[in-house]
Amino acid sequence: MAPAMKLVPQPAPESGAKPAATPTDAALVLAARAGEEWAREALFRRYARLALGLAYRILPSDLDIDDLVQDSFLYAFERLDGLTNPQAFQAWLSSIVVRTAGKRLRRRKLQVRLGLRSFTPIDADEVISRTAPPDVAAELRAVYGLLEKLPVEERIALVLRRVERLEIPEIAEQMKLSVSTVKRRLSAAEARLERAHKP
Amino acid sequence: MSFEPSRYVQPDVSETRVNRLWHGVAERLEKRGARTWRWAVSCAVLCGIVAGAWLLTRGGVFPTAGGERALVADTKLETGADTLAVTLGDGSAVKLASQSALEVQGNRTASLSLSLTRGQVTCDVTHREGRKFSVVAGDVEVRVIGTKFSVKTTAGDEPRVEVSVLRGVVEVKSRRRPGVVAHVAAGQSWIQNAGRVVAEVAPEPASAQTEPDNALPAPSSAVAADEAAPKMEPQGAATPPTSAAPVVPSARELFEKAGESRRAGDAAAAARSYEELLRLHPSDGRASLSAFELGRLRMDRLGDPSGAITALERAVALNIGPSFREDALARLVSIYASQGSSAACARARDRYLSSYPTGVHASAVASRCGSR
Repeated sequence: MAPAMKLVPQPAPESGAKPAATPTDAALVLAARAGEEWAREALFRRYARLALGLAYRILPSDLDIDDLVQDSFLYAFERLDGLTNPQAFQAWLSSIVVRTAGKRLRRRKLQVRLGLRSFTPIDADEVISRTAPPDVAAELRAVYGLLEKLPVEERIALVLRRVERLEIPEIAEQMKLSVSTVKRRLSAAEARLERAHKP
Repeated sequence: MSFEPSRYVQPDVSETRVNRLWHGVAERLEKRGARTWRWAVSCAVLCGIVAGAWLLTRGGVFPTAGGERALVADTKLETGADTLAVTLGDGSAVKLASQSALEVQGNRTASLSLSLTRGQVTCDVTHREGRKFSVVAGDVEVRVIGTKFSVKTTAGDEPRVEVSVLRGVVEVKSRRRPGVVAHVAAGQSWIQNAGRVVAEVAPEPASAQTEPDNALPAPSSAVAADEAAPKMEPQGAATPPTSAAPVVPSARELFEKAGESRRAGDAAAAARSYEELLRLHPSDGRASLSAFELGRLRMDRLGDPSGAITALERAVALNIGPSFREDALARLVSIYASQGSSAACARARDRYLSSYPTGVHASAVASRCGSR
């Protein structure tokens, strides 16, 4: 069935400059809602790298990151009607990636416990770029050395805080938890991190 | 120390990987769509019987799919430097100007209700039986059936709401005047300034201020009773017919005749009536609007760009109302561009942008005629 809506994003010009023909997120979301395939693809291409990066930093040893990212976008595209502020697509998608990653982590832990899957430790050397400054590399090494030992919510909160550098309210928004719960999870994770690296 | 640790934990984000991922997503979307479609076909047989019976007994319309989904209830649209235009499934268009904010209060089969909280929205509404289309700005509600109009709200100590109608008629209600409905017709503007209801017409030549136009609904008593406010008057007024020349149709007759022809879909006849009005009553108050409508018809319906230029330039020269002037200037840019008249196009573009730097057509206009 042909989509019954046309959407014409019209960026306004900067003074003296030719306008860039880049549709806003809101324009793309509206067009995607109306069934425009091109708009979905544009949203995907705009945010695929962001989603891949976020998923990878939460689940670096997971071989199914691609699947996670695809699931997240499918979930988002099927629920676009529920996005009340179309311009906030990026934050909304990130929260979907975070929650999808959380579900995967829980399932994976259960599979390991039931013996259906073998435990795969995180290889920090593999995950952290060689170009990282020494202090950054040391902090990341500490975080990724601990991740697999943490409960799911503590793990995600720690990554969002220490790696993504999000503020606590932003973490709460992404994880759909209250600020106080995030504070508790972070506090527990930070305590473990400190204990793990006590000389 | 400020650093971004995430930069140093990066997966492969090559174009190849992104392409592969997109194909996976597209394929899965298609499969899900197909599954939904098969399910829908199965249901359609049953639903069709029930809905058909309901329509036969009650009358009414089905909810429309497609475009309306873009504006689902509670959607909040905001523009910064950009503007946003949405065309719904029935051809209705909603254009949000830059620095504006719009909320969808409700979108159901029988009604689409938008709330303008900042800036300006222009709506070109296709008539659909049984649907109520309304825009609320502050305590003002504009309700339409099938028309083109814009609503502009200006915040501040003296908040102002301005409704300009380009085609058709709208009903305007203000909570400041409970129970009172003003009808604003093509060419008219309705303004509420600092809570005081004002109804006025777009500026027209002096001859426009003489005779009430029976083609337009009278202003509400509340509007007219506001001493501080000018009365709602027609866009233009006709030259009174004279007994000495009874065979010459009046400006009003010609204007009405053109409108009837247009509504009947006879663009050529409408254009002839407007041409005659301009020829016989060049200084009449309706002349500017007639010139604008003539330009629009020649451009959109009659495939006469040169004639459209003449008419639109004349509308501008006749000091047509502000909403029409903006549209006329934008149209001129478009026509000159399509004709490859670079110099004329650039002049028209600069004329538009100097008058309406943040106008609804600003981005489209700025991108025409090559680099500035």
